[in-house]
Amino acid sequence: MFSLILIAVMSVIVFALLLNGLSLLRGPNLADRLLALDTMYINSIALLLVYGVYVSTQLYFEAALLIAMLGFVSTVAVCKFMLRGDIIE
Amino acid sequence: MSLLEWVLGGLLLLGALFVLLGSVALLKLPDFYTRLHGPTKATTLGLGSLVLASMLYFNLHQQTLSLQQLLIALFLFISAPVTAHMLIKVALHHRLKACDNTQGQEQLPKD
Amino acid sequence: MKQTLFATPLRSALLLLVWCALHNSFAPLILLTGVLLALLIPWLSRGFREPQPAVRRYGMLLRYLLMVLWDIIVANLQVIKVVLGPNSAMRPGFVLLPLDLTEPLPLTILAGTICLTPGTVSAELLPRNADKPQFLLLHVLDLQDEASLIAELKQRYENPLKEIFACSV
Repeated sequence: MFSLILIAVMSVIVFALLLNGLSLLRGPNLADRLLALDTMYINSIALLLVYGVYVSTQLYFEAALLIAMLGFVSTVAVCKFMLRGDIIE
Repeated sequence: MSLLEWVLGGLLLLGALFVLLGSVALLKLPDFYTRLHGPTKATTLGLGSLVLASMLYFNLHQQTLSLQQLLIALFLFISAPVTAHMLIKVALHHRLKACDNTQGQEQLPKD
Repeated sequence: MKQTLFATPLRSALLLLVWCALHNSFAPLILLTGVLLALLIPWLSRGFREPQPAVRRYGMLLRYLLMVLWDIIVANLQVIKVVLGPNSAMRPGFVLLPLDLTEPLPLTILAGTICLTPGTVSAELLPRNADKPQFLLLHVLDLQDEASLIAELKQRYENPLKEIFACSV
């Protein structure tokens, strides 16, 4: 029963990821696509967390932590680029 | 199924629901400024509840010490406002159109 | 500015906690390296630090954090209500929030809390030169009454922050 709930939760998150992909394709401009990508990495962290519980291993949490850090830094870098036309001034 | 598993299941389903609603908001709302609210709030809280469920699972159900999820939650709760702030700055800089019934548009910076 | 090893006790404690959480254990060796790093990192980076107003009241900071956590949950229910309703019923808006705080650290915390709570995202600090009185531009998802929103934000978040950091204003 518990693993069934986990599978249901994972399918919901995968569906959310698909929706994010749709809004990534739809745009209509760069800022919207960036927002969709940002949501996508947060959702992929959620997926990794639930998968870690599903297979009962803590191995995936380090990967999730890395995704969180790299995702944040890359989003801010792209924002900075769109604001100033340059990342490191 | 024990009580702990029921609680965990509830938390996981709640988290998944919030994550899904954040993504639905991203797709459904009319302009960039309103769309920004979905991911920054709903998705963050959804992830918070998933992290709580996963911590309860490993620390109480599996009886192993597991604190890395706490770091994930901490980091996301710190970085989500910064990301939102940067994104809305980009939108203002590029002068994205707000939807027509937005109030107070005359207060936007002119430069 | 003090330049001893114990100049920033709060930051050192946080670093130690993060180090132990990263390793998932409180084994003696990890605690030892953690303490070493927690003392060395603030000391090595002392040149990059800018003087910030110190936290005066830790109890109030804790209460503030708990209140923000509760507000995040309430704010989410409101946002969900708006998201599930029709788009035409939504009344988004931009609001200028007049600020009493002037120091960068309390301002950053205020902007962060506003981002995470009641249907608002902080957008920009206006005007950009710091000698005039400043405003925070907000985007609100469902704007009912501008004056009461501003009063609530000031009373709920800005006043506790002023007390926590014991600002002069």
